[in-house]
This record gives sequence, structure tokens and C-alpha cells, in this order.
Amino acid sequence: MKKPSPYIALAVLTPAILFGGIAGAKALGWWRTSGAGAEPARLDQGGFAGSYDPADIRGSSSFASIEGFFGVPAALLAQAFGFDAEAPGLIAAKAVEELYGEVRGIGGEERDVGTDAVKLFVARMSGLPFEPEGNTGMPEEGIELILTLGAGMDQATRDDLISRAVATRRADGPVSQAGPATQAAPASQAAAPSAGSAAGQGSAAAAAAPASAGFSFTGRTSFGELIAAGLSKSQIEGALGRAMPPSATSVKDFCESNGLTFSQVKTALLGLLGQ
Amino acid sequence: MKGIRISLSALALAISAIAALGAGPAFAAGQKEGAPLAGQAPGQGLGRGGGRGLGRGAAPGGLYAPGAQGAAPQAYRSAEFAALAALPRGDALQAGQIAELVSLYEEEKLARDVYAALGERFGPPIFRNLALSERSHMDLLAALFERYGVSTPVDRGPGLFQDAEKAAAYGRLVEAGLRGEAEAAAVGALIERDDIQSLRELVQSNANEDLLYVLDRLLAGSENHLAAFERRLQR
Repeated sequence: MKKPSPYIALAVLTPAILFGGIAGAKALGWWRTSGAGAEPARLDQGGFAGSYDPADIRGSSSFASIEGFFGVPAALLAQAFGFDAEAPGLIAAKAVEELYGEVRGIGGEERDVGTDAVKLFVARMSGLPFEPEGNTGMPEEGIELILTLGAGMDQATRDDLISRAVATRRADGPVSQAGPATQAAPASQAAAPSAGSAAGQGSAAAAAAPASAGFSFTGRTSFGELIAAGLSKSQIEGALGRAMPPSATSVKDFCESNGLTFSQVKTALLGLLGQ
Repeated sequence: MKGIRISLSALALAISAIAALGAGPAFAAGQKEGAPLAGQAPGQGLGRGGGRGLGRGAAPGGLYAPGAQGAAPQAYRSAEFAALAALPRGDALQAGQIAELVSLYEEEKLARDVYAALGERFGPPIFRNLALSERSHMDLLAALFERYGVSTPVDRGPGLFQDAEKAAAYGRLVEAGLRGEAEAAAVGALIERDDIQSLRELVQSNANEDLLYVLDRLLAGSENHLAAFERRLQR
């Protein structure tokens, strides 16, 4: 019997070791990607163990990916920080820093409103634990949204939140948009293994990375094709910032008839597909 | 229950005080107390009205369907439901406890219906958002009822209650709140203070861990809502 060529063995083993190593490192939590849709770390102790950690939201995280991982709607994030964007899912957390940065708070103290404020907003809306930096500020509109729609909190936490108030600004120009994602976000935190059978929870549409090999996004691509490529309806709606039309509608037609920039929407959707 | 009834009476007195302070024409003159507002059919609510916020994405009528509305808090507050599901079910509830919880459910519904009606009139999304939040409180109580095999009260629509006293309170609260935004915020603060009082009484008189968890979540939510109204009143 002829001995296999060492070159063939090398050609087989090299990618196997490379990709196997990456998969193993990801499984062990040693490999973490960055980008608009990067998966945040999970809390590893306490009653919220297994939930995504708001502290790991990054400046590059898109509001769509935050919605995907934490369930806080991108439209709500945009409203909290004063963005009136057509496609709130495309806004990056770092845009908050650009809009506010260091400002004087309602109480007269210097406050910094940036990515840490986004983390704080997500944490107080969802009830997940998070300790903000001492000088982090929160727009008044964000505080009102937390108080009216967010999770309950104790008096000390509520007083701390209110003390961080800064005047809400309005973004009237272009804002930082998230770049392509390197990993698709699950549709909702509700799909985490710990979630119960609560009323109103989404289906476990939450499937993570889609199998989109061979998928080509053209001007004729329909929403149905995006679903077939592995995206969930909520992911698509997060990127659009509005309800998804019938699945036979082409993405380009929809963008043109709704005042959205097709190339930007396409970039965001491809990002969610990991392309 | 006794405490809740007394509290509602105090609420009625406070509403009278707000009405006496308020200026402007009374809303819907001749409207029968406790009846739904003119032109407001069950299922109507958040869909109309301008302003920014969640109203944009909410399906008309969704506010009145359990856990089904657009950007409902359940999406990001699922941890509360999950935590309840993880707790052991306590001892069987006595008839008196069930009656108190059903009354509490209707108090949350009263808050939801009043906020929805006020949200129809006023621009700021606070009332529409709070109506959604109260809906989620009703859902959390419904999840508790399910654990104990208790039937959740049928939601027949805005302004319709099993308890005639709450139906009457609905009419008075909406009428007082529609006089102006400040009056509406004052009505909201009254509702939340009343809810907080009822919840604290229930916490004192119950011991089941899962029941106390739900009461604690509702109490924390009501305290948030009260803080939101007080901030508005201070501006």
C-alpha cells in the first residue's frame, strides 16, 4: 500500500488544527471576537449566571446587536440618548460618546456620557447587575424610560440613577454606525437557557450564527431569502428599525420606498450574517 | 382587601382635590361614571397619537393582549419571569388570599387603563410606556395565578372591571387626569401611591416565596413609576 504524501496530510491537518483550535477556544471562552455584533461575555455567578453581561457592551456594538443579546429594543436605545434615526439598529454605542462626551450634569457635576451610559441603560432596563463608573451620566429621557419601562430597583439604585441626570441632546447630523459584525447576535436574551416560559417571550428565534454559506446579497434579494440564510425576523427588524414587510419584498425596494440607504442596510444585514 | 378599599376612598378624595385645583372644562361632560370613555372601544388605545417612543411600534390593541404588544417590557425583563419559574410553588392559597390577588390584578389593570386613556390625550410617551409596564405587571400576576391554578380575571377591555368601585375610580381618575398634563401626573402619582400601599400590606400578610417575589417586583416597579411622576411634577 502506498504511503500518503506528507503534503496531503499537512494540507488536511493544518486547517483542521486551525479551525478546531478556534472552535475549542471559543467553547472555552478564550476566543472573543470584536465588532458590531460580537457576543458579550456572560455573567458567571449569582442569580443571573448565564445571562449576557452589560459590562461587556463595547463602543463598536450596534444597537441592533444589543437588542439581539439583551432584548432592549434599538429604537428605545436611540430614544434614550436622543437619536432620531431611521435605522436605529445601525447606530454604534460609541455614537453616544460623540453626541455627549463630557458634559455638565443637571446637578452641576461633570458627567461622561458614552458607552458606559449605554451599559447602564441596558442594565437598569433589564435588571441585570452593573456598576457604572462614578462620573457616568444619563440623559433625562433615558432616566424616564428606565423608570417607566425598566426593571424595578431599590431606592439607593434609583437615587443613584436620578443623580446622574444630564440634559438630553438631539442628534441632528450623521452618527457613528456600527461596522460589519463578526458574529450574529441571538434574537433575544430571552432565549438564554435560564429563561422560563414567560408570557411575551419571543420564540427561540434566537438561533445564533446562520449557515449562510453561498448566500449572495444582490439588489433582488428578498427578506425571505435573508430568513432562509439564517437571520431571524427580529434581527432583520433590528437592522431596519421597523417592522419587516412580507417576505417576498426585495430589500432594495423596501429601502427605496422607506427612505433607507440600501448600502447601509445591506452592510448591517451582511454583518449579522457574518459576512 | 379592607386596606385596598379604604385606600380607594382616599384616592377619590384626593381626586376631588385635584379637580378643585384644576382649570379648564371637564372632560366628556355627562359621561357616565365608570363607563368607557366616549368613542373608546375595547382594544383601542396606544395606536393613535403622535410623539416618539414605543407607541410607534405597538400594534393597535396589543396593549390589551397578554404579553403580545410591540416593544413590550417582557422582551428585556424575561429574567423576572424566569426567576419566578425557578422558585418552588408555595402552600396552596386560601380563598382570602386569592381574592386579594385578584383585587391587586384589577388595581394593575386600573393603572393600565387610566394611563392608556391619558396617553391618548397627551404627547409625552410616559403614559403609553407606563400602560405597557402595567400590562407586564398583570402578566406577572397571571403567571403566578397559573402556578396556583387560579383563573386570571378576564380582561374585558379598558374601563371594565369586576369590582364596581374600581370601575367608578377609573371614570374619576381619567376625568381628573384629562384636565392637563400636571393633573395627569398627579393622578399617576396617586395611583402609584395607592398601589404601593396595597402591595406593602400584601407583603406583610403573605409568606410564600414565589408570591413575595412577585409582590416585590411589582412594588419595585410601582416605586419607579412614582419616581417618574414626581420628577415630572417637580419640573
